[in-house]
Amino acid sequence: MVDYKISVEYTEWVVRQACAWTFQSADFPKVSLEEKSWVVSLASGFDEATIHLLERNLNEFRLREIIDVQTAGLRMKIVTHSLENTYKNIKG
Amino acid sequence: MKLHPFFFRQNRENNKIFISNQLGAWSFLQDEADLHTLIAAPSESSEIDRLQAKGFICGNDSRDLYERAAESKITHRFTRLRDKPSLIMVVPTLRCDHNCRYCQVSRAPLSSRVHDIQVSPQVVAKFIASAAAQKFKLEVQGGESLLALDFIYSLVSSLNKLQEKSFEVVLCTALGPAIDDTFTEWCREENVHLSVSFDGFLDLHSKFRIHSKKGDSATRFLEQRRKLEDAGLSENISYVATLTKEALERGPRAYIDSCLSVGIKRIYSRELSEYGFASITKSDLGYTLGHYINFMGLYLDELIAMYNNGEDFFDYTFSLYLTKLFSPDASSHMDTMSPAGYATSGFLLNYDGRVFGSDEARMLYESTKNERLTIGRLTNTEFKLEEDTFHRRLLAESFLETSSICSTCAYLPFCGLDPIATLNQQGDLTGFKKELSQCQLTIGMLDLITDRFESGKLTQEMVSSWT
Repeated sequence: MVDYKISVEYTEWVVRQACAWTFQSADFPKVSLEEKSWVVSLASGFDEATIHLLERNLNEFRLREIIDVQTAGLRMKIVTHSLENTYKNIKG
Repeated sequence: MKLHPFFFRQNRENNKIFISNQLGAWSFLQDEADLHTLIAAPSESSEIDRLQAKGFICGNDSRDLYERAAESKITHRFTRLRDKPSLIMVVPTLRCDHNCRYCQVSRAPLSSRVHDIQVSPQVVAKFIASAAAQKFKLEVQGGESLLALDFIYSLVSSLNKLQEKSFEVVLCTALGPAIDDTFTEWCREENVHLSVSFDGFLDLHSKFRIHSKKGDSATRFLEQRRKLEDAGLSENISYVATLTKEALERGPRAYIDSCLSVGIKRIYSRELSEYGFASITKSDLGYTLGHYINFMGLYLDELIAMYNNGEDFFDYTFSLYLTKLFSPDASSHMDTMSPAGYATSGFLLNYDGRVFGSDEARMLYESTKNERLTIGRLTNTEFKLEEDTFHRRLLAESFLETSSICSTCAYLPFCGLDPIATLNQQGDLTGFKKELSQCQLTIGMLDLITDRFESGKLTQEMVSSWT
């Protein structure tokens, strides 16, 4: 196993989303939490392009998380309310 | 200034930052620095008026207006689930007189005695009348639909007699079977539309669409089309092409020239299917999605150049994506809805009486015979609904807004899912959506189109003309 360490300043959501958009399902890494870092472990190791993509995705999902915080979770609130409204409409 | 929720992604074509929101509005930021400014200090963003007009930011008042508008828009889209289906597909026979190497429906041989519908057209008409929307499209598929003309005549006549709903008729055909005056008169009387398979290049059409009995299929296509044109049905014909590796290698200009050489100015081109015989022959005839998207980029550039030169040619494949981007609420393509159009926007009655939630579901059934794909069965005496947990779950998994992979994608407001594709490609209902060919195709096509619009090559006038 080859480990790649990510700062714990990134939340679990950011780390897992970044991994989801970086790796193929057939070669998905193990993600674990150590004292000061997230550890992404992959048997085949990480090439330079993969690390570049992972870091890019970490930054992008961190930004998405900031948008969610700045907008007080409004995106998901809208979806949740829409689902509730739809349920009411369909049930009559 | 306050920020509203928004999605973003770096466009692969131009590296600019595409942004969108739950209102279905979209725009571009020039670079990552602009993105950071918008997030950290919205009031310092360039082009504040444009961003405000599209709902990305608001004044220091509350966000209520945005919230109500977005909620209403999404609720409206979700509530479509309670509408009755408006696309009713019927497969009166799975027999076909062509033997296409990329057949997606697993067609049956012409001589088969067990692949014709046994339910009477009168019973089918009553079933459709009870299940369909007030206004619907009756799409007759196959096999080869023209091999079941007696059934189709009776079905349309029965639906007319019921006088309950208005409908239009589309026959999907490769024009193999004989065409007589009775047929052409009926097409004129009922204003029947013919969706004709033609692969763009005559030689490739002959090579891959092999006719069982009547010789060269391209010659047959041209002869049969002439009969339809002579009968005054030119306006009722549209064309559907399946693109193989050889077609892509010849390039879009050759493809367009070949279509124009046989008088075709409008066509719907599609990639090779993932179902039926095509799932086996794809390794031989197919290509990577990257290769296909590259072809589509060059193709779009050709279409733009032709429009600017006043030449009349267009491919409806682009209309699907343009409509999604420029009028997301107007799109009714059942394979690209969230939640899916599966069983809600349309359904399919198969030759064996089985009812499926989509065309793809019956394609998958033909190759797997998995009974869970069946929604119900129609016989001459009853319609029996199957247990529906599986189908409810299929629909539940198609709400992209709640998918962990899709819920932050910048193309989410313009995207939708065919849940059967997830099942077919990945073997489960949830799937790993970013690896679905539909996801990769949608991202590739939307990157292309938004890039051409941002650069000014694709104009609003073209969009209005093509959607």
